[in-house]
Amino acid sequence: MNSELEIGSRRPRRLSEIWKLDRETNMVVALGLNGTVQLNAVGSAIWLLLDGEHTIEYIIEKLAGAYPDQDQGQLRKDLISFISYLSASGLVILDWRPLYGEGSKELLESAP
Amino acid sequence: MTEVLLIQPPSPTPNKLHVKESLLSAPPIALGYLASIMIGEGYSVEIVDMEILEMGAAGIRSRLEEEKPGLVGISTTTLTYRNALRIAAIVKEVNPMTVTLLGGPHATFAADDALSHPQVDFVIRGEGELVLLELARCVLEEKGDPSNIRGLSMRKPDGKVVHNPRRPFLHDLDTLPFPAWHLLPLHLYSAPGLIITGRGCEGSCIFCAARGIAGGRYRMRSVDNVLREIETMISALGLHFFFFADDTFTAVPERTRAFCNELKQRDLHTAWMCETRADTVDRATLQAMADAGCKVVQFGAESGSQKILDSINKGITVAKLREAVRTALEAGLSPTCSFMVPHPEDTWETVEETKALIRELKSMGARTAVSLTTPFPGTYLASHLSDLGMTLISDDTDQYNFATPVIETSNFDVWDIREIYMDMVLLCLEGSEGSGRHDDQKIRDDHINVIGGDKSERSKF
Repeated sequence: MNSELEIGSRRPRRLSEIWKLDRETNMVVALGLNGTVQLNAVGSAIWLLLDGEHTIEYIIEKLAGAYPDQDQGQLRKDLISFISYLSASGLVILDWRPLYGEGSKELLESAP
Repeated sequence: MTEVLLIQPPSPTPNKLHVKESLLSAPPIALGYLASIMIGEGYSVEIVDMEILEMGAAGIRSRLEEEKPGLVGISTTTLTYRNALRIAAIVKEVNPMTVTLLGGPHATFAADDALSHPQVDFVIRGEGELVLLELARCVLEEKGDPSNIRGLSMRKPDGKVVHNPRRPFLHDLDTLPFPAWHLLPLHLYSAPGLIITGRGCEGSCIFCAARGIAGGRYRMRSVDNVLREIETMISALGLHFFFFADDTFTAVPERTRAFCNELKQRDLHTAWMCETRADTVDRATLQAMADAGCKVVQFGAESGSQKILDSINKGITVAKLREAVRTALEAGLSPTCSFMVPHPEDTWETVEETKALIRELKSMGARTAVSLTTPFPGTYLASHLSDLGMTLISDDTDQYNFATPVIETSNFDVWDIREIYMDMVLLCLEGSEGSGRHDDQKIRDDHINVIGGDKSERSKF
């Protein structure tokens, strides 16, 4: 990956819009490239913010606000690890720019 | 130097990447027709399909710098509309003197909005071939006045938007040259053999804009003209699989049978697929299609509830759909039935009826697919949303991809809709090739080390 600053300005977006939220458990089940994936509650909350509008920095701030007692450095590390995992699983595109289009050569070249 | 550059914008949604392997990609036939008629009049034309070339902003910018076109025409669907605007802005950045033009289904119904953007000079409403030709004469040769071109909308120097009178639909489609396929990288498409044998749709489904775009009467090319195009595509391009993209290929069954009989007689060794309505097929037609090489026929099924089918003005019955699927299978065809959800009056009960029909059709041997109801401009649905008890929850057309909920109904909120849609997608995929990939996985909790994972914590966001 590039610098922390560059990572924070990225706007991750869900690759699949085929997902649902279990309103009893508040957990997301999504259809990924390799099957359905169930996220835990916090992962589900993060998932809802992966709409291509919010930057990673914004999501970190939301997390920090929700968990003020947690070590902020660790929280940032965990979040980036989680989003990277979703990206590697084919569930999320790390930096959505609509004119680049999905699977764009330019987009892939710019991806970490 | 290119005089006219025609651009197919890329889809903005990464959703398509997810299913890219399973989607048919077809070349932009409308741009092929536009290019062909322009070339016939002596203009130098190029087509750039940014989607298939996986081209982004930098790519189109360098292409514009290289080609230096005088006129740039950009095709729009609702999904690609905002990208069309973004591309038009790049055109003007590269050269403010280049004339920009938007056309296609979305621009046809959103000309005022398109022309509220300074980077758009003109909008073609409806069929574009003759409008583009007349505009090119004005722009590139300074012959004529755009104010006199029917089917054209423009912004006057005082900023006022003017819509010239609507242009009548083309009467004799045989007069059109075949699309300029040589301008497109056909080898990149999974379904390059795209043919339209007629334009217009006699249906009046509330969710569809086909009638508004191409008229409520099915205007057909002659059988001979279509067969000549097929023969040309075989000899010039080496294609043998064709996709007839008419809204209702079998709208006139006698003509369909005549076409199939002639195709079979010419012994061209072709295979093909088409889309149609269940109420326009019978045994003789489906058998003639199968005998002539048809492999797949797609029916718009929409719902398994007769009450819902009636409420959306579909004009078919569930019984007729079953009969069409059964007959197609008996003829040796592979039928595919496409459904939509949620319709304005859908309830949990009618959704269950649809699921039951999907199961039934699959057990018969049909394929099924489902997409989300989306209020596209030009549809009754879009212009009567509140009357139909629906609420628009997103006007961001970058999201209008058939898989993102952009409306709620009186019976379903967005979470209901996501649940219904996903369950139906999984139902459609069940038992199909590759469905083993839908085994459940769980994201391990250790991906979020610090934060717990119980339900209460989510409410903190």
